[in-house]
Amino acid sequence: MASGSESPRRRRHVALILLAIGLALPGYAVLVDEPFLVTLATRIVVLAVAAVSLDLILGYGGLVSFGHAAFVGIGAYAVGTGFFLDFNNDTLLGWDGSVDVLLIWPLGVLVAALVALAIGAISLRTRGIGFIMITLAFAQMLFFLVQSLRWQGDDSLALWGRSELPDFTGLDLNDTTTFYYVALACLVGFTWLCSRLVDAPFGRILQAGRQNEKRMRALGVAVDRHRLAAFVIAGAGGGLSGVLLANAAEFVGPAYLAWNRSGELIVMVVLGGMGTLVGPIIGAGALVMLEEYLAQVTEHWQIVLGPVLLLAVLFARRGILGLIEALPGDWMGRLRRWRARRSGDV
Amino acid sequence: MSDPLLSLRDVGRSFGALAAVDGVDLDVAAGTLHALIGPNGAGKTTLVNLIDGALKADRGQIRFAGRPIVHLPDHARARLGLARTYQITSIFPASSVRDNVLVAVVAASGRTWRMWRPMVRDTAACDRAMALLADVGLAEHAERPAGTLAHGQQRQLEIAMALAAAPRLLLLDEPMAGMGPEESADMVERLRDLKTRHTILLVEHDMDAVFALADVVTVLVSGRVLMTGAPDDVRTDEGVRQAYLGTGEDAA
Amino acid sequence: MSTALFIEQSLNGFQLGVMLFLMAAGLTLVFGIMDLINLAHGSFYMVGAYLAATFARWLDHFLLGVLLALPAAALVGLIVDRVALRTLYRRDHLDQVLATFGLILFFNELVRLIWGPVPIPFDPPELLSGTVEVWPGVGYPAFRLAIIAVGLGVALGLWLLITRTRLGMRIRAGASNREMVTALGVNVPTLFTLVFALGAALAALAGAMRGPILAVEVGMGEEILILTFVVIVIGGIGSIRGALVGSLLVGLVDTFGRALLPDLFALMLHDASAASSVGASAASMSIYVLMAVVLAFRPRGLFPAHG
Repeated sequence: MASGSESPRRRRHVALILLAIGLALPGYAVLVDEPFLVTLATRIVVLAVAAVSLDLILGYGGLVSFGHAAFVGIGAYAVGTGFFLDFNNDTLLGWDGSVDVLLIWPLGVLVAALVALAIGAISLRTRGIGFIMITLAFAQMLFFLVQSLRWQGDDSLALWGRSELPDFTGLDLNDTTTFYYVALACLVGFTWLCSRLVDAPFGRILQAGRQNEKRMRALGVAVDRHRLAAFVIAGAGGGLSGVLLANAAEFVGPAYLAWNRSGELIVMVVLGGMGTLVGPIIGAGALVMLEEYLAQVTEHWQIVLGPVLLLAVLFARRGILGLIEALPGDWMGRLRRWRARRSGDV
Repeated sequence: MSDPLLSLRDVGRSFGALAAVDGVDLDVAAGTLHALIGPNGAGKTTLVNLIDGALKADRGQIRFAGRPIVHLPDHARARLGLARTYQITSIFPASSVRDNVLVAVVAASGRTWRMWRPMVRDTAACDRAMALLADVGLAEHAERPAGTLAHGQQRQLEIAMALAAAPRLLLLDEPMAGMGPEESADMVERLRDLKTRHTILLVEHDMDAVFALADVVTVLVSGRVLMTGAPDDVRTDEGVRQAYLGTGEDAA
Repeated sequence: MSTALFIEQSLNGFQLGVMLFLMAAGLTLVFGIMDLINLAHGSFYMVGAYLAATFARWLDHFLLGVLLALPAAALVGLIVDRVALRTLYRRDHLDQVLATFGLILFFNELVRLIWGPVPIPFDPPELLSGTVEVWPGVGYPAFRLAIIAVGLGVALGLWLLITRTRLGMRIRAGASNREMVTALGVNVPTLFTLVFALGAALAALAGAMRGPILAVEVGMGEEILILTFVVIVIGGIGSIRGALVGSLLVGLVDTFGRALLPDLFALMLHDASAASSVGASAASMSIYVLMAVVLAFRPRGLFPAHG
């Protein structure tokens, strides 16, 4: 089992390479004249935030949460509600809405965290299959809740623009590339926070509790509260993803909370390599691109995706990152020597 | 004479109709190695589980270091200074040997909520973990995944983890189970050394080890205390002989 | 609430309850005995409905169509068990969730490929198309009464099977203590296969009977699957008795919630449109609230089966 502490060096290299690709992508898109690439990459980055946050409880905490899309949905609905009230000069409980990034984004994250606190407090009383089913059921409950919401007669809402950054930044999120970089910054920042968390005593206790809860209790720590804290932080990360998602798609609807979204997030985490933080980012990219590619090949792409998932589970247990890390030889060293030789030539 | 460190009065626990532990009185004095022996199924492990809180007692009182603990959950009892090892080795197999002890050290320190500085950068904790590993002779294996250690080494690791909390009472449940003669001899030396510094309640099948180490022996039969006394008294007691020692070749 | 409405809603709740029991009985045994979480159980429900609708049209006979669909669905269950799930028994729950999630995608798409994206027609039999007077002045569709009767009959049969036969004894032993069954020398793989096929057939029966009431469409299995999860969590994983009590509880709470809560909110809010919206959402959330309350007091459900 990946425990998050092994082979961290190669993992850091993979993370840096991913970051370089992420930074260079808009430039590449201009170069090959494929502006759609930035939109696709934004989608990957946004979903990656949710996948990384899920990894915190799934990979490190060992808790199969099947309702993570609920937190994504909450973040998105916070943006939608703020936008709706602001646009229609309406109020809700005395609040007249907002499109301000500095207000609405933290609000979405906070609400998601609070809901995670409530759901986690009840769900964590159970283990195993029970936990899976209960997180799913709670997410479903929220799904029905938002489905009954009406934005002037409709259960979904198209936004007529994105959240606004303060003027002094000089940044306009309606610009596709600007928004992409902001989303990327969110992903990098959140992943970095998580990486501190999992190496800190808090994260190590969490992982030890996953391996052997009985031993951890005999050592004087009931891991439940650590798990709940991780669940709340993961919920906040889901909320951040949702805030970004609503802005990226300029759309908010119940579909964000649908149960298969939660399933897809789990797929991203496991496909990429769980308990690694970097893996879920790769998983998000892989799944989004796979869907994109398969959808071009056949309308019935899910008939391929289903068995692919099955096979991945059966045969590539450590995910894509696991495969990369299992590559033979010191490929990073070889790359460095190759670069050194080239720069020596000049 | 001062109060015992651990004191059980009329402690009992049933599983359905079976009274696994049936009204046990037991006193463990500070600074002693108290051995708990008895034939298979006598309820020894159940009793240890009742003491450390892995199981809830149906009845009776348990006092530890002067305060009642019977209502406390297992992790709270651990924080009062009860540490244990299990009959079946219980470690974190995927983590390195050092991280196993490091987690135990951090758990004992109560600083389990720190979220920023990496655990391995806590030099004080790392030094303590390495010292504990050196004590049980595992320093050279610090970086190996704990699951790859030999059986005897895993048991030593478990003792190092139990010691991390500087416990007031060590509950050792058959530390020599499944060991070869050489590993057993090592473990006896380890326990001889430990008893100079710790109060120990030892459950053990190896009678040579028990009579070599114990200050006091309690014999448990069918969930009840048959007798408690000095090793020599227990060894020569006719009742014990019939109930227990006579049944096997262990007595030799 | 008038007597007529009360009787009608009670019957509706009962009918949903017995349907849920058909789903939950198989699923909870699979959980209990194999410690396997099978998300694709809802697919058997969907496949059952599609097969029954198709067979009924070919044979021009509702009952024969349904009866033929059951072994067919059991066969599908057997194939799924052999091809995909057999290797998952010893894996952790996460692997099972992922693999069976993949199966759902596969089955949904397969059904869409074969029968197309639009719901297919599935009419109740001519014989049962009328209403029956269940109470002076209260009519109730005969087909729905038949569903309740069949559901109760199957529940009774299951109960007899599980409490009165050797097979049932083994199944019960397996659901509460897996090691014991192995120790007893029971052929565990055969037992697993039997239980799995039985579960698939029961789910198909539920789908075939509910198909004519709701729509036979892709994705119909997921909604009921999640309801079934709620039932099992409330009842206690692995417990047949829990599945029965949980099913009826969920069926009645859901039905009465939908019937009563909108009116209740209208009374409280003095604003009909707002109330109907809030009330409707409260109604669809009511069973999840029920689940949360049960779990808050009994984390392992009403009838915990294990240890």
